[in-house]
Amino acid sequence: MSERRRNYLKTVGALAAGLVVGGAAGYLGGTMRPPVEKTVEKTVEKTVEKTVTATPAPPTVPFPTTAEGLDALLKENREKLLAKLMDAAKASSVDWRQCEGETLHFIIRTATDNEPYMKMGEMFKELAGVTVEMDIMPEVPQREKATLDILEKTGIYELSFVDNMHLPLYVAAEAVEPYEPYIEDPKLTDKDFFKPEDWYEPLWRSANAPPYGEPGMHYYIPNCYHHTLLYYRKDIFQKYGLTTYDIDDFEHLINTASVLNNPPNWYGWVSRGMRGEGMNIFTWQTFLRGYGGNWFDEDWNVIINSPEAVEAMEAYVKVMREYGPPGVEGYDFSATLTTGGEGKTALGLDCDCWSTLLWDPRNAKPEVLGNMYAARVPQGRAGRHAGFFCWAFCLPVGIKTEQKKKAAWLAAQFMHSPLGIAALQAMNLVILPPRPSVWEIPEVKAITPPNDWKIVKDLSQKYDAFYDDRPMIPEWPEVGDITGVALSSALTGERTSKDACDWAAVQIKDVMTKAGYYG
Amino acid sequence: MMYAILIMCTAFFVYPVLFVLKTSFESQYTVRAIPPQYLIVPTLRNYIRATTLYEFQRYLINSVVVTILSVGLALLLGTPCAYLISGRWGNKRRSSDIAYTIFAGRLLPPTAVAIPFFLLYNSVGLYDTQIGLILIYITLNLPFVIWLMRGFYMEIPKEIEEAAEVDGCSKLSVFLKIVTPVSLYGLAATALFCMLVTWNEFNMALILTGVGARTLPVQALQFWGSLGLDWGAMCAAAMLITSPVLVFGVIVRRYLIRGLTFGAVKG
Amino acid sequence: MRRGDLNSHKFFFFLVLLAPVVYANIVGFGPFLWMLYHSFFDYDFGKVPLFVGLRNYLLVFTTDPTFYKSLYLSAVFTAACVIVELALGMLIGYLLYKTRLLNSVFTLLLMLPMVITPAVSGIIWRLLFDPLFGHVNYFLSLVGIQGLRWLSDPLGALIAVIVCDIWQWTPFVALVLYAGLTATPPEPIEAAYIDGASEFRTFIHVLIPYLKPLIIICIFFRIVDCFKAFDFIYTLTGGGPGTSTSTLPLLLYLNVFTFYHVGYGSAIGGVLWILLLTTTTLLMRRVGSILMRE
Repeated sequence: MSERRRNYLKTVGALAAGLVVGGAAGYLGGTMRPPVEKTVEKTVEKTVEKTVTATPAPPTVPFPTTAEGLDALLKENREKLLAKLMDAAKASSVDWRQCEGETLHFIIRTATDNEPYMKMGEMFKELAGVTVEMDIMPEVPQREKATLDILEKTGIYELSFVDNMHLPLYVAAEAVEPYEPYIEDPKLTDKDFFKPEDWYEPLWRSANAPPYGEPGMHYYIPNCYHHTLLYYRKDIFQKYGLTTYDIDDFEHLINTASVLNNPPNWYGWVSRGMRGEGMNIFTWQTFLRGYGGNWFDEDWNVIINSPEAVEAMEAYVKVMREYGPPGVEGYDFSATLTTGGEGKTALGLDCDCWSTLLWDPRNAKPEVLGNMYAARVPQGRAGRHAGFFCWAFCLPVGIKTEQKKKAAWLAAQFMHSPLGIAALQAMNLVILPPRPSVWEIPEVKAITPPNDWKIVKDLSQKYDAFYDDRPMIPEWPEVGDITGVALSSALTGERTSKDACDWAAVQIKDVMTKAGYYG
Repeated sequence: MMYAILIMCTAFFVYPVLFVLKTSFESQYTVRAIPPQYLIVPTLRNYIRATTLYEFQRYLINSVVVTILSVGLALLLGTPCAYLISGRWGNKRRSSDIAYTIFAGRLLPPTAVAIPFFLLYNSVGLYDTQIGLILIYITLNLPFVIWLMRGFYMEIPKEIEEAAEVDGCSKLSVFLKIVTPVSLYGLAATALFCMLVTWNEFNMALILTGVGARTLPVQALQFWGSLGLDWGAMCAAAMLITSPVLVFGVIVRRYLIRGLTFGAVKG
Repeated sequence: MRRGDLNSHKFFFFLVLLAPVVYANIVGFGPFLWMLYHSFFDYDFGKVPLFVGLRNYLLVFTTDPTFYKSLYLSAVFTAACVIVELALGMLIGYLLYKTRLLNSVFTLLLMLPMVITPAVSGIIWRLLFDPLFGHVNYFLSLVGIQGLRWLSDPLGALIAVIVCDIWQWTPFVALVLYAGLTATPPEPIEAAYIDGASEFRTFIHVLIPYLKPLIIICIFFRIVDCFKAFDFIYTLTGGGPGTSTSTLPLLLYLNVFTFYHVGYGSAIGGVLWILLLTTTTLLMRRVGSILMRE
């Protein structure tokens, strides 16, 4: 054998031996994570009251139907709101100037509320002498960066936007601060100005990230409140002689979709198909929970492949594939919105910002404008379940100085006070206030389109709709994504619903085992 | 006949760019029309949005500064190194091994090293600075520079240098006065290629910059919002990012093509 | 040789040689080593790292549900892209070489796809592949093919991703080969012509051997880039419906940035790196003789 080849073999042999030894050492010596102590309380089920139907009040002032008119209306009200905000802030008992001279960095995701935030940043500078730099990025990179910053405690951003489903991850890692110390401090907060009890109940409950958060503590301040609603084209429904009040269960829903389906003019159904815990899972969970399925039971056993869950997946796959537009298996939110806006669908299940966005002539074709109304999500044998979701500001533990923390709190108080939230809504018709009182502000009333979705929302809130649907655990991103992939593969026909659910169950069990749930 | 095929192929490559161009001048109402409307009433609304919504000038300046400095410094650092390992001295195998090791650094997708870079930069204070980006882009460009320039230098016949040395030039002046002018094509081509890659680099810029040092490609993605995609503004931003590179490339494209082949032949 | 000269300048020599190498090592390899280091730990974001040796790698090869699929997808994607880009690039390069008229116009137009940011080109193709409003389906409908589902069909998404890469990088191959063709000496071609060889045979037996080094270089660059390709795949399909376009870099991204399994993701990164290293080394060794003509 040549010299060179012998050397070669020697190195390869040494490498292989090293690998074997190292692998054995790691495998034997490296232990799995110690089991996590988890005591999780079961969430309390709501008592179901009798459902009530109501007819919407007719609009008093005609809503603008041109882009210019809409812009003018929004601008007028926005300026009034901002002025009111400034006056209220100055009149409040808070000493805004106590952290003068600081510079804060916020990171928020691109959306229509960016401009009001920037405007409020300028106003805050005038009010408090604190410079606010807004870093605006698309949703996915923003979430990455914020998570990186919060979990690694690098303290780059003083206030970051977080997705409410990621909060348990941060709270479990003790990387975010509770807001109570700031809210209860009279020098830092004026309760009349900020109104800390004025939040929709599901939002504020999930702000505690049970069971990881300390009881009574809240770890984020919401800026919006998304939940799913059913959307329907009133003119098409009238043509077929249907009303949404008849859609009482999922079979009825599928029937309605099949009746309405009229390709290629319009399709009977649209919803989200793209994989993702915030994408197709957000709309599918209505089906899942409505049929009585869930991800976990009380002992954290995985029940995503229970017969109810499989039924729910089959129903969703059926209505999407047979009555949805081509390509619906890959639709994300913007694609469903486009479909609705271009008039290609008669019925849809999606986030409640559809209801307002489709009254904007830039998003909606003339036949859709003014014809898209909202209804409560369909109910199944286990009740009506609408997923909810919000973006919120949270205060990372890694912020460098106490002064910065106080300044960040003051900014959050300013921007997410009732009037601040109202100002955020007055931009491009995305009206989803997380605070009930915001609806009563006259300027917000003026910009709410006259469909009945507010009434529907109220009914949903008060009666029979459940809003705590996705498991709030730190492992949710992975669990949700696995389910999303399973649903997506069922939608494209790669797997049957049963196979997809079983596949997901195996994966999820694996994840939960690695995370220490099974002791 | 051959022209027909050529035209068809070119049409395939050019059509999406024309699509972007058309959409960038189009209003929201006709953007999604099928059949596609080619005769549109142009509007500047998208360009106005793309340049005024976020701080466009700052991003442009950042991109220009970062690209020029990082490519320049990479060339400065890389060419002497390339010259020295171009087989003129010592063991030829060792030279190529060194070249190869440097190239091996290019083999990883940026997402893998994004987190450690983020942490490293934070602890050193280079987060969201132009210098930080420049340092990374130099690392990105160095293998390219060394690889390509090494190829060019291997092309240059030794006789010229030997003649100069016999005449009494030192090594350094041989390098500067004789070798460099001959390899100008190669330098230009390498510079062009590196500029193209650096200008369009997106992954690292996304992770490592905040508002201060952000570059243009990241800004184009900011129109990829979660509440609907503004096709027009997105395309306008894309056109704005590509135009400088395009103009530059048009001017010097002859160098690019010639240079690529000369350097590549000798690997 | 010039030993004497070498010794006297030895310090300067090593300094100039080492500077970029050291620099690349610190700035470039430092984070890479961090990644490699953490691949031996069980490290999730927000949790304390636990040393586990090669366990992550074992898990990647044994219990990861999508690893082998990602590997397969990466291989298929790379193979398809490289083959088509080479074939198409050679065709276009040859056509450019043969048709002297308007050459500058054509080369200019062909440069266009290369200068677009890859992430942006992913978005552009996403718009074009939209089943209802995209131009691809419109043009297909003109020849009678109706309503194909691109991005929501597993195979369609893969084809879409391959088309995007081909669109962006075939001009690179074409222009390189075209330049190579213009640099070939005319004598062998004339000789073949005199001998009565057809155009096709001339191309195969005379021109291609001259182009061999360039072809190798193109293959090399494209293989490395296709294995590493991330941004345009992400913006175009996000990993595809289900996992049908999740190549290895996307799997890496998913594990690190969506699931926050940094240790495990780093192991995938390590695997990817070793894979690429082996592939390129093998490629280099096999064709090393052609390249090292010196």
